[in-house]
Amino acid sequence: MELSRKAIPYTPMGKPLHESTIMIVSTSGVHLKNQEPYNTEPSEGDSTFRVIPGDVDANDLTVTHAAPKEHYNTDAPKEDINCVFPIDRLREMVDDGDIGGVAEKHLTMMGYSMRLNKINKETIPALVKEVVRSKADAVLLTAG
Amino acid sequence: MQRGIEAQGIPTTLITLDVEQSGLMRPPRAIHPKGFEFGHSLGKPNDKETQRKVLEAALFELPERQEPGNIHEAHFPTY
Repeated sequence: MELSRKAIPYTPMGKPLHESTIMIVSTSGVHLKNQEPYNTEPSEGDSTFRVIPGDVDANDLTVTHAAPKEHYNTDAPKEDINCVFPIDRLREMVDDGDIGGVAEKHLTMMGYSMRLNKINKETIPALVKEVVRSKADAVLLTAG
Repeated sequence: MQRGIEAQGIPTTLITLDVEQSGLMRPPRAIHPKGFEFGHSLGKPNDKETQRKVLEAALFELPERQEPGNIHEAHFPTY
């Protein structure tokens, strides 16, 4: 569906936070260490996304990102992925009863890819389908 | 992306440090942790306290904020 830039799609929250399952969708370039890293070659870019299992161990995640280091220094998330992908903090909120659950999977992309046309026409519709299928109640978006 | 997900009936909330770019997209709900550096948009490595506060601030936008299109500046003195 083509969205007008002026109209802001807005979905009211259907249930309280403490009953809601939360999914992370991030453009911070996070991926599993054994997944293919994002392509940081500027002439090629990268319009793909990765599926991160909901039960992932934070230590199995890393970051690959094309942004210059002075713009987005990936040393911090490589040391502690929760800097940009707060999976452990979400689990603590579940344990404390503040949210209902963590989604069965999460999705990541790499920002700073200049392949905007392909991303808008192909990647985002495919990614949105994954979000809908996951039955998450709400999505937390993070960038770098 | 946020707009695409919202259009399918799933509420979203964004943590952004790039207010200029994100502002152009008029996000349905967003917070900007003021003064944070790229690479730790939720807080510095192993600063669990700040990370948790930023996460809570973003998630609390979901049931509370009813004024889409604005990015809400948030201050975290523990950063």
